[in-house]
Amino acid sequence: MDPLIRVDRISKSYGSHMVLNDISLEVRQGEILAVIGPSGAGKSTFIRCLNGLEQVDRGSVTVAGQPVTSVTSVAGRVGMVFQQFNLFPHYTAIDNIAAPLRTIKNMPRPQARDRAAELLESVKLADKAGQYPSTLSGGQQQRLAIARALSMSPDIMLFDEPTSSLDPELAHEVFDTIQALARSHMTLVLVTHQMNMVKNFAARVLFLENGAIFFDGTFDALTTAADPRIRQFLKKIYP
Amino acid sequence: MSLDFSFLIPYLPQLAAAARVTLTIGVFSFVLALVVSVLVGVLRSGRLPWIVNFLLGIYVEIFRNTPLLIQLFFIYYGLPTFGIVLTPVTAAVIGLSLNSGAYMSEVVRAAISSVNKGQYEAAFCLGYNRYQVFLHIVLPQAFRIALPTLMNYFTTMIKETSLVSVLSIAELTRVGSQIYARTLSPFEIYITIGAVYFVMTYSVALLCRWVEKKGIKWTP
Repeated sequence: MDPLIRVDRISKSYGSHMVLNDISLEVRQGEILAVIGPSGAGKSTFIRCLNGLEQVDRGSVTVAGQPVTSVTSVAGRVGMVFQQFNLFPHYTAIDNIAAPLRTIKNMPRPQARDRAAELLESVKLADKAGQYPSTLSGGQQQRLAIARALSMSPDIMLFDEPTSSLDPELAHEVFDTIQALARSHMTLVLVTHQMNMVKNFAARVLFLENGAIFFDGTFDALTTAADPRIRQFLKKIYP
Repeated sequence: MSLDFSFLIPYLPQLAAAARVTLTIGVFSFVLALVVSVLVGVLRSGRLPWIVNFLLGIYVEIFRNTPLLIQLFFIYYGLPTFGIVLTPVTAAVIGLSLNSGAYMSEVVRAAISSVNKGQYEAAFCLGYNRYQVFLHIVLPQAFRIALPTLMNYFTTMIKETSLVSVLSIAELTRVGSQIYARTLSPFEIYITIGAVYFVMTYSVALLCRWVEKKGIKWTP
């Protein structure tokens, strides 16, 4: 089977600083890939290249055979969840999902609201439909953001440190939501520092350092890896 | 010194009419300024040919860096040189709205640019196009940011209408001065005029607060 995401020798620099250096990999349908690594390793840039939020300087990214040339080229097919949620503050919870459905998919209002209500239910926010994002907790906001991204029926979901700005207990709610997605065989790529999250459901772990892939394998292989750099990093975040 | 306001009673209808003129000019000019500022602010926020941006920039800088009084004189007395003859009230409304529009367009522009970059990213990822992002996501948020400042300009506008008295418009300031010339009681007349301005601007301020509170239910 062809890979769903194919990353072919991509490089990316900001000025003279090389953030990604000749990265290649493939992600299959239904695979769950966790991207870890020290700060400044290029994790966020990497994941943002997968949906065109960042343009690569060299190399190419294709999603389901389609080249990723800009964020609009794969919009909708690749859902993205951000560290800072990026919900639309002027829409209620239900409209954060229904409004994009109406605008982008031209869905009639009742149908969009029904679909939005379904998605709210799936992230256990049915009772918050009429509330504005600012009145929701961080965990609720992030679950809403996940539901919003899912509304476009994407093939792939990208998570850029989805729980980094949340308290541990709120992060847990978000884990559960992501885990449910994982069980539904959605293809997931997530950047995270939370090794518990990685341990629980990522079959494959990518360790980035200085913009290059330093390790690509299973979680167990990672924790038993002998390389001192990996061991040192793990000691800090997964004691 | 004794204050006696009773001499003003015969002038009350005249003052009321003048207050109406002031308010009418103020409201019309503000609405026009709002249109100008949104148009210019939005255009200058977009990716337009440099010449459009340049010309709009010239407009904004000229009107922000010259006195309003000179602008009013130019529009009323200067434009007839080019065959453009305006009534005093039209000249006043054009002058006031172009002047405030220049300032307010910068408020609109700043509000648009202060909308978080993450909002664009989230919208683009969902599949919004540039135009949809601007209309559905950026503008409503910018509106909230700009609203209090724009409303401030409304009260400023009402006060600035006193300058159009130089165009022989029978608005509050001019009528006040005429009454003063007849009665030679500057204290009473100017304190009365001041009070009328105060009531008008303060009412507008209260209205603005109400609009902000009732009109926008969400918080960032």
